[in-house]
Amino acid sequence: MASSRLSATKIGVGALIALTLATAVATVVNLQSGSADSVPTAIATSRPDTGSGASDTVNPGSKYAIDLLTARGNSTVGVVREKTLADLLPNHKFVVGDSKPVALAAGIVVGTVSDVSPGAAFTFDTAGEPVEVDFDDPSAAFRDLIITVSVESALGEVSGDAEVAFVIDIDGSADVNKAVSSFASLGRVIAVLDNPGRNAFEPNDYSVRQSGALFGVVREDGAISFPRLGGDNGEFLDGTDTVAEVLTKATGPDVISKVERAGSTPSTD
Amino acid sequence: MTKSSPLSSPRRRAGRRALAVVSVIGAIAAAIVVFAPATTPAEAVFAGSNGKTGCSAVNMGHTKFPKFVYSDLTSRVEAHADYARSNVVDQTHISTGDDTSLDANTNVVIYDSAYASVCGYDWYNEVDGGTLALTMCDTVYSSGDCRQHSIRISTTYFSGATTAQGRGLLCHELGHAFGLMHASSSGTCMKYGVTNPAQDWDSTEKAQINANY
Repeated sequence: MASSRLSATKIGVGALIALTLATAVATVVNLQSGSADSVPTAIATSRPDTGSGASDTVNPGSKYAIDLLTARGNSTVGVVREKTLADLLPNHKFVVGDSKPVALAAGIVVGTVSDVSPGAAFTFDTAGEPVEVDFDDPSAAFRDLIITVSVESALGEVSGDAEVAFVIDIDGSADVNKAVSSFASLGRVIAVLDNPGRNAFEPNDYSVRQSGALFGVVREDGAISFPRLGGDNGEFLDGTDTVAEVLTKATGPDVISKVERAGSTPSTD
Repeated sequence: MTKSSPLSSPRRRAGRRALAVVSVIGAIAAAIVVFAPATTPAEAVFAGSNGKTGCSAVNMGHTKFPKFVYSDLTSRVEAHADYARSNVVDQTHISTGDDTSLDANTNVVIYDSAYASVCGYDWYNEVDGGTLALTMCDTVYSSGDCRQHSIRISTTYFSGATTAQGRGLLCHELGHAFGLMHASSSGTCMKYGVTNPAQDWDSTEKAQINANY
């Protein structure tokens, strides 16, 4: 028995030493993972994120809607003219090539979601061309939802409107009923609107800029976040991170930015 | 003749060593659980085999020897696709090849056109910018791997894009076709945005590709 107790003690001491060594190893691994360019000691399936501010503002009922918004655009790449939210205010105009100065966004609306309605739904034919199907057709590749917001503040073309409606797209694999109720529970939101016609399938409706990415939520204290942009949105918000700041900056003097033709922009990355 | 203690027999000693090894492994595992950044949100690198298809699906391909079809591509898009295959994809465990015809056994199909509506995305125009390319998994095997990916490239954008932008864009879409997700780092072509694109995957992404193909 004495031999048995001694062995158990040795094992316990060994385990304690191993725990201490493993602690040191784990700490080193953590420190290394802070460097984006470090070569991982093991194959990583993910990189550390820079922040979680966006997800902090989402209430549990609207998580599904946020997940749907976030998933859109997972497999695309694009040119984003605007570097910051301020670039999308009505007093910021862009000259592209030799074009006249234009505001990139039709407007910005802040308010509470008052209605979510089904729009159109589409699949693809064998040539890859979109074909409209019934909204609840399981073969739909994507569906449009019409979101109506009861306006608290509005800028640009929607200034003065009591209600503003716009279209967003969700993937065909989404649970439609769950999506509708989840979007309806978003509460206080912000949407940066593109001009009608930007969404080819709902040509008479406003749509949300960056293929829906600039549909965000507004916290009780007025803080803005766009969950699909990821991280803490810091680079994009660039200090314009509350509704009050958006409204203040929109009253500032006009700003004109020049953009070269084609792929180059003054803003992306 | 003395009886050996049960604890000092070779079998018991082996059992004790095994117990010690298990304890050490357990302690290491516990330490990793305790000290791993469990609450830190992470940026996914690799989608893996997930059975997903459709407009936003990123799903890994089925084979390390994928067969490509270029569907009547413009010369610039074709050149950039060739570059990205040779200098990015084929530098990993994956070895790409050409298919003689487009059929169910084709693994990656690349199309280009002046797209305006595919999947409801806001496709590129000169004033607004917008979506330049999209990769979709169209069909899957029962295992969840993607059987056939389609890549769509906007020719509207390519009329004025630089060579670096074109190569970066094809590097990006081919990454999606083999299961890579978007990155926030500028050190990889998987970053969203193409103004000053990297033209290669980073070491973490290559490690994931090599581990899965």
